[in-house]
Amino acid sequence: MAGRIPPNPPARQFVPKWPSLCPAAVALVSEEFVPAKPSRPLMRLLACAGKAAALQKAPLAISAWLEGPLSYNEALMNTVPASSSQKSVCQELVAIVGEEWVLHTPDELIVYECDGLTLHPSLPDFVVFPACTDDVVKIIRLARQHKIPFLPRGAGTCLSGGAIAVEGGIILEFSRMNRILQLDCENRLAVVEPGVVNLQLTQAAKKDNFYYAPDPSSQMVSTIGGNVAENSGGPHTLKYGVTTNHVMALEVVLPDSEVYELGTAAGDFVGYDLVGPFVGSEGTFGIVTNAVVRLLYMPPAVKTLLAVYDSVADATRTVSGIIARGIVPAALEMIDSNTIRAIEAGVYATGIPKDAEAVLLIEVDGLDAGIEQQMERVVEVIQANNAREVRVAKDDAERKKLWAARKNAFGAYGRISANYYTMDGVIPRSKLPQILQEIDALGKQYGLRMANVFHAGDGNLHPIILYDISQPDAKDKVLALAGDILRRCVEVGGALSGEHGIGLEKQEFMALFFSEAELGVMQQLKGVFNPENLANPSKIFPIRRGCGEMPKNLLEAADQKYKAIDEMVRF
Amino acid sequence: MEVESTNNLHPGVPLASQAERSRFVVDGLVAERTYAPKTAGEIGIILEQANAHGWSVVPFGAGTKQHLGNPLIKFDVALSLENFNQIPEYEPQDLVVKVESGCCLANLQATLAQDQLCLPIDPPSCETATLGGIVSSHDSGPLRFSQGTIRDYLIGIGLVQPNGVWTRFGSRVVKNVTGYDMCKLYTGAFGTLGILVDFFFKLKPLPPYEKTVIVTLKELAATGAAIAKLIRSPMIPTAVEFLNPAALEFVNRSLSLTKNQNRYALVLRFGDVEKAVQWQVERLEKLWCDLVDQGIVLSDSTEQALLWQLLREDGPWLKQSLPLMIKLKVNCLPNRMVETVEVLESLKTRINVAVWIKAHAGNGVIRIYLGGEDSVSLTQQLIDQIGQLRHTLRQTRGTVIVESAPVSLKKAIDVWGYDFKDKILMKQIRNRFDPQGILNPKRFVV
Repeated sequence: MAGRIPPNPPARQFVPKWPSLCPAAVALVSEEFVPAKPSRPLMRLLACAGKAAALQKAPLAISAWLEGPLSYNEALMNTVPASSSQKSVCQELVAIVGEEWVLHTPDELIVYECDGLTLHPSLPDFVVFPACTDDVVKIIRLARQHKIPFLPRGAGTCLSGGAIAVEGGIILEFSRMNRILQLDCENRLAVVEPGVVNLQLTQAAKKDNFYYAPDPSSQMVSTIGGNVAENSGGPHTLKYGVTTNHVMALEVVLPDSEVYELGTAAGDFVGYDLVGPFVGSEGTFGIVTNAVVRLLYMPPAVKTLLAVYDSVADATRTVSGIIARGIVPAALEMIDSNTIRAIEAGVYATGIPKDAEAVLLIEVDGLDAGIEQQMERVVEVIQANNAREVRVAKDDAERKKLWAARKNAFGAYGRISANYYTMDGVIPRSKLPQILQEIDALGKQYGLRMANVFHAGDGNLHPIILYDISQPDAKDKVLALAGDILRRCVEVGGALSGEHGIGLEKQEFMALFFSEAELGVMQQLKGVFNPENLANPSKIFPIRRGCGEMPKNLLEAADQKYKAIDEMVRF
Repeated sequence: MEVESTNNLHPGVPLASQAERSRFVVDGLVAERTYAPKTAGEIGIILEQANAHGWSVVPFGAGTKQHLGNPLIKFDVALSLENFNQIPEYEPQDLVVKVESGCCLANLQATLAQDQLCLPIDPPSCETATLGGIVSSHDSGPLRFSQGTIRDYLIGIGLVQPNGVWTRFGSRVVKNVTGYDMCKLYTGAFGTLGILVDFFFKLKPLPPYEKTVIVTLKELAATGAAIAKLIRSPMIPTAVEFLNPAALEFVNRSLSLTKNQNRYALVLRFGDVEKAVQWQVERLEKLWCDLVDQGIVLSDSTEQALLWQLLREDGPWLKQSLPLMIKLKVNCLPNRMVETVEVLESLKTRINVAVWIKAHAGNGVIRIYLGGEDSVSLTQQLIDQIGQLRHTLRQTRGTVIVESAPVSLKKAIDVWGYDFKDKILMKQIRNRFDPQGILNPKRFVV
């Protein structure tokens, strides 16, 4: 593409200064925080905070950034001069959304160089904030005219690189399109814009006792648009299904810059189910501009318990035992010993014995009548499998505390390891005991510490590889271990990803799971929606090397970026 | 399997038995050739031949869905999946099953029931319909209120592409975002994108205890109010069905549930642990006390089974003694059901037809059986009325599908009536996947 910014911009010295936003930053990192009317500076702050969170150094990064020496205008002076064609695209973008809502200087763009996958950063050429579907149409029309790649971005919490502009181009940032257009309890649905934050929808529906069921760990910040693109899961998908089971219809803008309505909230869809494949297409089909999602009535009774084990095998046998008895808990999560120690060292400590080998977090929900019976059956299985201790949350506060430990586990790893890599794989549930042993053995073989916190009830693993990037060979080892784990998942009948997506992270592994013919069929489908390959190009499908090779330069690039950003925020 | 002598094109592929040939009739046309392949490779050979010769291929399970779709124009090959009737993998402890497309739902459910599990769907023709047909038609029954449709349970699929190549998408894991969700594309695709060979489904436990409640209501408006109240309550019935007075009377004929005449009815199914079911039944009484005029609770499992069979099946409803019988499916927003039913009931007086209506009330899926004189004028009136209804429902993306009708009527109308903008995309998918248009040509939306 003409006018691209070179892939490695000069190191920035830019640190903007908005002390007045400090409370917002604190709120963001500490509490559920959702801006009602985000201003542009606030949005920059959010993006930076999201980015810093991705780097596992959120509180520190934000304070350093807020205390930085340069004003915004001073920083702007340091920008790289843009080429003429880039200038003209920029002007056209400004004409569509206004100057306020186009970012184009490297210092502004750098916060958009990656999402939750920090391994493979790449700068977009522009970040644009559309306010409505019509803006999106105009932006896509422009992109198409200039053959510029484009992709949508919500909160940037994707862990597989879905929101990284790997080919440069335009990122459409959806934080302005964050309205809940309709809460329709009679039809048990909500119509939302893509920038609506997952938890915000549930909070809005709560007054009528309804909620939106899919609850990824990122739900405090991640958006419905991003959830739809990635078909997000979460702990409660065991009983209630993933995003795709809760999306009835979509309004989308395809790369032909036309608006299409897909699916329907009125009974059954007719013709091909286009919503089904669109959900989880990782932005490679087009851009969602609003979604009709299902709301569920909030179960009046919820019971949560924590079961503590001295052996991982006993915990996994409990998981199989519960499922095999035909009990479908609302959630069935497992946390291993390394994770327990990380959590207990942090702010979300819940008093789990630090010498425990594994804990299960189990939740059942339903009506008040009968919930005790459900719980009793679960406890029977737990006790039959040698649990050391069973703790039932007495009230909502205790329940929230148990969940906070689980949902913040990823952040806690920063306390026990310099770096970590969160994997995502999925296996048949009955293979859980076997695969956990194998992963443990593989870790030992590579001399790397592993942690595990995952959706055991779904067979959805999140092995965490703990490493120190400064150690020689660390990255080679991490990637080789990750590859071996994925291979084993596929070999036992599982798949490459349960909920994080393929994106950039696993595209080279696709041939482990799919034949060339199968990849070809999926490419054909993509070709219908995205014939010129402008929507989120170079994702999902293998492009670089042969089968199952994780590009080695990824960690290397990440290493450099860490350094650059460390420098930027002056650690 | 008897092999016919005229099978000279590809002797490797077995034909369906002669005695069975009469089974392969669609819209009055008999299949020129009937194959019953035994392997996916053989299906591939048939499809390659079909592409080479321009044959139209109709995939065939039990044939319970062949009344759907626009009329078939030529019927070159019936591709029977009768040899794909196995359950090759079943892991009760994983709550996952792999089943072949020609296996009938009843057989699968019987196997699963041994472990107190089920595939929680209850579409029409439960006893005979095959899973291939149910997936391809995305058919559903009353349980969809709480359990969703087969779309929500299909996690893996093996199929032969229209060009004869074998492919598999998804797998036996319950959560999977590896590549595009192709299972959804093939669900409801009417067999136009490939020959579906096997499926992985996720399963659920059978409810340990069930009760059914039938309430009768004097006014149509009261049913709307009752449903609205129910939806805003914590109750979780597994099914919520609506019947108009004619339909209630029809059900009454076989089951004699109520003596009340000329009533609307709502039929609720509860399935859970006994305590939870009892609580809901009691609670329902309070919730609806000012709306209903009679409530009947069925606890006997045989009685419940009979009622739910009648509610989900089409067969008995279409066998009314009227010369012309057609069945429509109306998709509308759930809260538009009452006004849509009002319009449909007014057909009784406006065009002089009998109107039986049953609906999956919480989902906005209405099934209507219309009966009358077999005359040209009535046919035309029906076509006009369907057109008007389609026009009304269009604003909310509602649709009207003619699911069962004489070929003469089907020829005079597009049974799907789908003309939204995304049809362009559907056409492109169809053209890319099956460029020769060999699979069920002209019958589907595109």
